[in-house]
Amino acid sequence: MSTTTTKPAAGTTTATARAGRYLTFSMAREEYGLEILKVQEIIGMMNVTRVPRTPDFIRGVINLRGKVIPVIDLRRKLQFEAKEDTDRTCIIVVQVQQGDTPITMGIIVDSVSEVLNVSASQIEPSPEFGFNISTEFILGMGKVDKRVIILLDADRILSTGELNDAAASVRG
Amino acid sequence: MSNPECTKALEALCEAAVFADLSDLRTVSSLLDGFENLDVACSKSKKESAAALCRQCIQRLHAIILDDVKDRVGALKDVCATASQLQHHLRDGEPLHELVQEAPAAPAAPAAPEAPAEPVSESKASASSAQWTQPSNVDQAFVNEFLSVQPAVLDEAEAIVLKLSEPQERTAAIASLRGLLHNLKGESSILAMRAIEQLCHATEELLVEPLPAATPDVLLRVIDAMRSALAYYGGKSEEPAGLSALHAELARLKPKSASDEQANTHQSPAPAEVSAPAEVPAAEVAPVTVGTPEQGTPLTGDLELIQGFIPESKEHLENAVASLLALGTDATNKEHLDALFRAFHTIKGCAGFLMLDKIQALAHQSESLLDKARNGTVILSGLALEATFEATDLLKEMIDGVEIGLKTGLVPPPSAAMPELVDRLRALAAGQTPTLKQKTVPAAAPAAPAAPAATVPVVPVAVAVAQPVNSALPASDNAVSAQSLPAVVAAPEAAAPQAAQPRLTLLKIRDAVKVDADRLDRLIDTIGELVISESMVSQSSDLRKHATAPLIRQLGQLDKITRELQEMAMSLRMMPVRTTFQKMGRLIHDVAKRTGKQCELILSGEETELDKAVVDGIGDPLVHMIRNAVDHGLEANAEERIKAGKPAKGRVDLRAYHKGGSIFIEVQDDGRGLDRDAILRKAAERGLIRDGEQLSEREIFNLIFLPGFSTAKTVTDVSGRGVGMDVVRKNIEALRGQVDISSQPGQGTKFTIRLPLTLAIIDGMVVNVGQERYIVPTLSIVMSLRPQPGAVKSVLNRGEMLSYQGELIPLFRIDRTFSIKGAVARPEDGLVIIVEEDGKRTGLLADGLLGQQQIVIKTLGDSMRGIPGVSGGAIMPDGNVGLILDVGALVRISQNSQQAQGAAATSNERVA
Repeated sequence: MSTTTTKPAAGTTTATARAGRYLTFSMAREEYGLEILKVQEIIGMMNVTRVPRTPDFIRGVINLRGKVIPVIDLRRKLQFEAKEDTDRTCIIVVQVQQGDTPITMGIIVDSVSEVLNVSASQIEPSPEFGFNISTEFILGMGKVDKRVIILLDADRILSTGELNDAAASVRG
Repeated sequence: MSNPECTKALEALCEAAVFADLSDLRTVSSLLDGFENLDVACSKSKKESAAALCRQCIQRLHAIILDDVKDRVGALKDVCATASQLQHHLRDGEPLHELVQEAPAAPAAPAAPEAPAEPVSESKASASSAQWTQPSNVDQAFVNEFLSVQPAVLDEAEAIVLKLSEPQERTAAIASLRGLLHNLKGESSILAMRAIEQLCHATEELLVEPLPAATPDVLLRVIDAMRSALAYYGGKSEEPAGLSALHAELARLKPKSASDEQANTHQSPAPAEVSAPAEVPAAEVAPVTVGTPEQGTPLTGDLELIQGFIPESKEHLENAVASLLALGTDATNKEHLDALFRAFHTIKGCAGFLMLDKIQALAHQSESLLDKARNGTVILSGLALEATFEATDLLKEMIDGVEIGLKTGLVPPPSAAMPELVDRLRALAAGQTPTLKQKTVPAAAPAAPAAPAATVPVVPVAVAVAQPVNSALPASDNAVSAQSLPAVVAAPEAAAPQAAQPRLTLLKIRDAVKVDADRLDRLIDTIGELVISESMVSQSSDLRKHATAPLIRQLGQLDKITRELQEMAMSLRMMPVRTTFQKMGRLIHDVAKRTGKQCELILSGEETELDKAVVDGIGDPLVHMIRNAVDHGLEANAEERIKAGKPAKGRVDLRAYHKGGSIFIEVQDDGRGLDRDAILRKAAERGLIRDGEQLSEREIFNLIFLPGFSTAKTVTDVSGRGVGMDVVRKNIEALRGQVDISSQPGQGTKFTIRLPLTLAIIDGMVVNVGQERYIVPTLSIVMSLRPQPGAVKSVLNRGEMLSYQGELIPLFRIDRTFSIKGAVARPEDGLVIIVEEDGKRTGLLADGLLGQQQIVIKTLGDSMRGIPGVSGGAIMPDGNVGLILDVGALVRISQNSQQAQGAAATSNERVA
């Protein structure tokens, strides 16, 4: 991981900034959290239009009350095994900042659980697993009542650069 | 201005100087205006020494405005002192040698601020332009408005400059240009935009008959310089350079001395120029207030602009009334006084520019009074407040009159109350209490039945027709409204003698509301949503199951209303193509000059409305095409044209019109026409066509749009046109348009651009490929067909070709390009859509056609931008998202992937 050297420093300085309310959801028996301030709404699973020649973690686009927004499949993004959608599968619509422009996108997760308050003392920096396991979009680990919640950085889950690179690689 | 008038104006200026409030730049700038007028007057009457003194004051005032002197109060005192010396000089005629020597350089080069009399102002000029700071007492909205309005004004100025070359329009053009520049000068001086002000000032002096031949070109450069200056003040660009060179040129062109006859032409077209702001001498108001019968005046300014002026100034007047009412309870409320002043000032400025001089005169006088009120010299209460109210009413009357004028061609003469009101305002501004007689007249007028009778002769033409109407009116209204009423009735007669007026195109008056563009877009978006929801509801199968006849009928009604709403929403974004067209006038001028050809541009259909985005986007391609038309299309020189039996002056037509749901824009020249043999030769040379390939005329001409063609130095000298033609086509295609060429050798060439009415909606064919649905814009489809069995041939086991009517068309399968499973395998089961890109036909294989519909285009958002082959999304009637195919890109990626495939020598199936 190229960011390994900077990561611990960033972790210590902003731990307090990361405290707050998180929307937790589960995927493959792991618990994840997204900053509630970034979450716009949660909608049930709906028809997603596949967009050709995009990376496979992009499920496609949906019509959110007249606005076309991209939807990413978090399972694919985190390289989990694909799984059929169930009636608990839902889309968390988040508003993220990409550079200067706010972007609305949907994230498909297995099921949402609750909104949880995570204080600064409960947050630990994200672990280092060495090569091959990307932790750049993990804000930190939240430990609440023996549970471990992986706090995700919504801004980094889908970066335009990544998408463009992907598109370019398909194109080339 | 005669000597006594000068003296009087000066007196007012002295007074204003003594009372000037240094924290209020408008006061100072009105002082500046006054001195400038005086300077002009003095130069005209050959009082060089007095003029020099004026200039001295002007320079000091500039320094004060720019905050360039340490001791502003001292500087103002200097101004007062100089002014009083000047007063003595004018009154006693005593020579002023010693004073003139203080400013030796000033008379020589007043137009060139680079060489000013005092070294102080030299640094001042550079310092001011180096860092412009918005004067603290001018509010941001005013600056913004200025910056947003002025580009259009400059465009207007440019159009006027171009008219200068036509002898019959010259005088009028000079007059309107002067008015325009003067106005700009005033506003820019308030905003301390020194670069613009200086340019205006220098240019204004230049605009005197006879114009030197070089003037129009210099003027165009001045306008360019002002544009860049505006951009600089707007924070959009660096400080404009080369201003000093321009000033030097202006100074060189400036007439050496103003002769008497020049002075006359000088004075008549621009009355605004001479009026001193603080106090207008009686003789000057006189022409406005003449009691002699007036027939009404034809409108001289730009009718379009006047049309815009009417609602705008009415709005200002409404605001003014609101402020006045507030001032009724609190006479010294600074905020309301400022608002009031601004309203009158804007009306004055616009009216001056539009040559509505009576409105200007009244607004001006009111403004002077209000200015005093803002300084605290006059308390705006009692009589003063009353007079301002009356001025507001009268202005409204007069603006209504202008509106009538737009309809009938003649503006009714102003109310008889006007001269009296102007006098009263002036008296009030001067701090006098109007005499008893003046006081009683306005009060008595509405009541006394004699008063309206007296005003009738003012409109003699109207009398016969209007008499019954007039007497039927309630007496109390007559004093004012009788003036405009008879004029309306009498309009046909009054207009008759003026029938020869060149610009009697009568415009329909429309009310206009300014709306924030973002809000408008949101409204349009929301209506788009409504349309989709509506069709989702009315096409819902659940609903159909339970539907009763009344429900179906109501749904039909809902559908109709929704469509109407949608059409309305679309029309909101429409604007006439005029602004873009008018810019081309300048372009022709420049290109013609550079190439040394004679050429005129004939515009038609400027009223044609297009989506705003299209109007903005069409500018670049038009520039290319028109430049090409003049540069390459027209014959090299007049002799050649005459030899070919054409008029010496080349002609380029620019037309816009509606036809069959599309907008067409044509650029046509009457030049040599395209040389098809040369194009063919070149194309064969570059391997773009095969030897012996039969091409239609249209296909040959379309070759010039190929990228390879444009960069070629020359095909021959004759058909070297095509510089940037591929760019032209790209731009037009980006607007979802098409461009076509037709040409007759020796007769000229015509480019026809076909554009959709709007960018927000397209006609699309919905096709399916496997489980996926895609929308193909109808505009890019040549045809679609179901191929005969065996019509599709495999080539080298890699590519496929469709043989259609003896033509072999490369065929690509969308499912392979997009890796879609479950699509039809045999082409004869599917649908081939034939599209044309870069002049080549290509077939795309889809499964079938689902339908055709109008589609509201949505972007896929920033994160999904640049997906190859997909140009956008659309909400389908079932609420899902459909993707719009970018046909050109799709063909390209299909080719690429096929090449890649070929290189890897794999079979199609495996990659798919």
